[in-house]
Amino acid sequence: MSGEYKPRIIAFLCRWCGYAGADMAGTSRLKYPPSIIPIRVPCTGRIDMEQVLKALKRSDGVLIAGCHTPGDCHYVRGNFQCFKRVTLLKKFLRQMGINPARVRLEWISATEGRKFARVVREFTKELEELGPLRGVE
Amino acid sequence: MKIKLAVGYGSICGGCDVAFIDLGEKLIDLTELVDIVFWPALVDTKEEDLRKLKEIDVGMFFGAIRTDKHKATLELLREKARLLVAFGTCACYGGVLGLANAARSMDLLKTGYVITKSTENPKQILPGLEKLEGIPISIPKIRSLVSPISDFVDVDIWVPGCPPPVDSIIKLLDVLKDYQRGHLPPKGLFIAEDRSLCEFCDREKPEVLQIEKFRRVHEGKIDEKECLLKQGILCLGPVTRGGCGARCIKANMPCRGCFGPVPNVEDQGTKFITAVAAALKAGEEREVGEEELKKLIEEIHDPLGLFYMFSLAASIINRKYLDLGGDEDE
Amino acid sequence: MSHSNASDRGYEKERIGVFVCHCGRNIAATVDVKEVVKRISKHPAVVHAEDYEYMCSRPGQELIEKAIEEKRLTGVVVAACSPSIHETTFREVVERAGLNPYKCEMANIREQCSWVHEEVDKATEKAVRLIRGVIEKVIRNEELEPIEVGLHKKALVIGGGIAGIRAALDIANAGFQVILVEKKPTIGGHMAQLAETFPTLDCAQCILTPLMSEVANHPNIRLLTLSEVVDVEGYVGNFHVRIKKNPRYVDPDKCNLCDNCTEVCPVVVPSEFDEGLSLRKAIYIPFPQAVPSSYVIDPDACLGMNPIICGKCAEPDVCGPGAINFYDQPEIIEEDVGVIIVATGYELYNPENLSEYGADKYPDIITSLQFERLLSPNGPTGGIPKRPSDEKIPKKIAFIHCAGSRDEKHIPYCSNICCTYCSKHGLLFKELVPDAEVYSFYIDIRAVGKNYEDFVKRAQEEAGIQFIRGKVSRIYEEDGKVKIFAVDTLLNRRIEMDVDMAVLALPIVPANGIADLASKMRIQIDNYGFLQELHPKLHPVESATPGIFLAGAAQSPKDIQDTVAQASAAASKALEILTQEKISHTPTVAVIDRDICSGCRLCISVCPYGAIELVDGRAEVNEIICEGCGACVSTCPSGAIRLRNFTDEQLDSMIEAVAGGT
Repeated sequence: MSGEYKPRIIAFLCRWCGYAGADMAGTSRLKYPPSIIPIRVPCTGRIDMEQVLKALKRSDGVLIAGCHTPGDCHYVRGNFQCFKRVTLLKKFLRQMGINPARVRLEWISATEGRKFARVVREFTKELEELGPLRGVE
Repeated sequence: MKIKLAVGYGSICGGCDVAFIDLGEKLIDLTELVDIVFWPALVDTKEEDLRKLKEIDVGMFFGAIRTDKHKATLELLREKARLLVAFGTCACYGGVLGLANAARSMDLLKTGYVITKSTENPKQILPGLEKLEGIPISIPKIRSLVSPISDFVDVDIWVPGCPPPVDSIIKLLDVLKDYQRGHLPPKGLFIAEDRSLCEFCDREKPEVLQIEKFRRVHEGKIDEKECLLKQGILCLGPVTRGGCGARCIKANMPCRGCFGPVPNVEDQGTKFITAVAAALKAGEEREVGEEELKKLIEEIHDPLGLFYMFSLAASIINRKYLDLGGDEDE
Repeated sequence: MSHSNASDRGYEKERIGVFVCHCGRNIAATVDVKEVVKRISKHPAVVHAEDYEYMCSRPGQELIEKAIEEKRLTGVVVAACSPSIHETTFREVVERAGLNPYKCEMANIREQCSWVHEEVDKATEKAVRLIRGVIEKVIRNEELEPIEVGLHKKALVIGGGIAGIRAALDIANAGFQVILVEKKPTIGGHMAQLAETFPTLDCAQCILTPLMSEVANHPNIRLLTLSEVVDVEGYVGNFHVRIKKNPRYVDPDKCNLCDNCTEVCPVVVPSEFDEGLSLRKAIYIPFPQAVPSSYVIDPDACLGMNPIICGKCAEPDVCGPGAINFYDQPEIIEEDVGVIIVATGYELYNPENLSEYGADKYPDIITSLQFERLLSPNGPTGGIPKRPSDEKIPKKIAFIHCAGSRDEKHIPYCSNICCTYCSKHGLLFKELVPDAEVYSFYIDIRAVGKNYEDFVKRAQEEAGIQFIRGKVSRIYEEDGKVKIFAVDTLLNRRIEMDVDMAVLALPIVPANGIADLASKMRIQIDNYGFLQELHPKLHPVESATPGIFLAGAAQSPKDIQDTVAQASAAASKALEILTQEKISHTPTVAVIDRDICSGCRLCISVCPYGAIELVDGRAEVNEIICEGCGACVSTCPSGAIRLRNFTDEQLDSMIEAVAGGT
């Protein structure tokens, strides 16, 4: 891939865990690439897969960070809703020729600042290798 | 004064033409209402004749846009007609044909004209050429994507259905009769219900809709009274507009979504993913656990073919991507 | 759904003020705040943009207030630290200036931008996009007011053990009415069966019965024994409960505890209070200090009341006060309460499941609760443990720790109290029978409470109890001897031992029927059947349902100290609600459009709070119960549900904006 391409990640972070974990990465002054731009959501269970696809079309990868299963979700089981949906969505993505790795679901708790930074770095690198998302024109 | 009607074809199967026959005796109403200036299956006029007209009242477009010729016909129709009707699911949403977008059009042509065992085409000639051994011919060029007509023109009236049921056609005739009397229909009128098929389905709805496990239609007896989704059968009723009379449900078969998505939903297939995955083991996810849930979800083998059967061309991801590397002949 | 486009949104009507904070050098060192202000000023919805060193300081706040007044702002975006720090602060600022607090949002350009990136141009660009995203949200935010509803200032406590008693007394003493519901004929729970409690070895009844008496006499407590909750409807502040009160057949106001009835009753059945080690009559009092202070007839044991088969107890020369009423009927009592505390306690794991330990088959292999009864002065053997088979005092006794607990095949968790009470049993037994040989078979010693380690040491050193580290594989009784097969893992040898009595520390499991009760109240139970707390650290006594609290062993195995502490904590949480005049609830809840809803019911199954119900075939959200998670919003296949201030339109436009639109 040419040096021009810098992957862009749109992230949906749940306000209780994922977003707080990202805040913790900041409080700890960890560094990660500016490839990622976050959107705070009340719960990963709020996310409609339509929104994931819209975000994917406008970027190179989508990161979703929620509370750990089985029991951490602030709203009891929204994280499971997201998990089931993303699992099924990935099947569809593969059928349409999109690498399902471009939608990444992670469980990141409010204390896991390190994990958040690591995931962003890893995901950015992975997307660098995958290249930009190209469709048939 | 009879209404001037023209019917243009995109990529059709003929079903929409045949649907008019279901009118039975009411076909006579149609002949008294309209003056058919162009309808290849019915009358012998040519596109030139349509082009010569300054204006017509109603243009109906059947089929999706697959070739550049289809697009040209559509644009001609839109130019001449005061009211443009997207007739049939293909015109409205791309229809079943939209599934072709899951492949590259070049790969489709290769499969059709080169690769299959029974085909003899040593020079690997594909349609769309402009010269065949020196003889100029123009065969319509396949576009890279199948599209619903709304991608190119404004639509005045939508009549979904594969094909639209006779009740829809009768309603359309009533709209045309009103038009004849000087009443324009509201812009973007849908001849279908706004609520989903669930509203019109007579089956017993459970207090709470939770799915234990998915199953396919052939895997065992289907209870005729109970909600199909509750039985684990993937019925697209909840995301599909009503108005078809729920005939499939009455025949003990699940809805396939041919009336397209309800008004507030943009992407029928993806919305169904979001809804049906949530219903699986709803309330019991913590006890069941991720591993088991993953297994159960993955028992849905073909979300593309089933959830997007009629609407892929109108969906958010409406084309094949070349992201998986290697040769994709899927 | 319409696509939100800059041109068709009509930004002209918006008057947004953007305030970019330097946060000293925290933001300004990496984000070019002046450049951010310059770029964001070009946004069509923005009429005011400025930067300042510390937006959260008084002068910073004044800048916002001033701009709201002077520029007639319709919304405010503060680009600074994380909203988790100052969202409330800035919302109060705008409210002071006369703007609805929900028209203020924050863009996090510190924790998630300046602090984690190094390249100034990239960080600045990201800051601008973040602000653009938040602008899209704030312009579509509705001006909301908190939802308020009245409440019933009454509490329901389910369970009359020590947890329920403590919670009920705390709430009643605070001046509120309490209904205490207990399944058995008396309150007191398992604590009433205990001899002495560790580590102080207080007599259990001595510390319990005064509390039971307080409950009986408390003007604010309505005690319903022989009662069960059959239905709970409603939501916090407004629960409607139906309680089934089973008949006692004896009038507590007339019964004078003379005991004449038991002498004439011909029926004899095992006593539950004595864990089957003694017998009682069909008419009985569970124990002398029972509350209510009255006898009761067991309808399953009695020969017949309707028609009367025997009737001897009711004869006038037997029951002087005429307290017996064979025609007593069950009653349904309906009450409206504001809060509910669930304190249904525990049971011991059924020994039939552990047939290798033989407690279900052999008379001298008994459970820990049975041993408590043997130790109790008011127990079947007057306080000196004797073998059930021949009533001899055992000289050699073994206590089996972890008899089923920490076992994959039975109960995987630790039951918390067994190590301490086994040590207690050993200690107390040695005091009564100083020449006895006492063994304790253990795997690990868990003595975590205050002074518990000392207590166990005392059992080992002072009382001379022999602790053997090893799992017991089999126990049975033959020819009057209890045979134990075990392993001593410290000495690495097998053990085959004959003792006179073996006492099993069986696992603590949730009380029977808890799953049903939990599902009626829509509270969660965990994998093991215990009531699930909302969060182990942040909300240890709350259930997922607002207004319903948990206390005691119903939530997890624990000792009396922790139970009482938890009961008081639950009472305090309950009082937090009861002392309000109105219940206030965040208004960012889900709203269903009845005109779109097709009655598919998918939302109802997804809602974790049971906040949605069908009204005339269409789904409707109860605003007070809804917590605003949005699971129903995404699930609704008709797109009929909207989450206030987090709509699909907002999310779509935020995605567009951060991706680089506008």
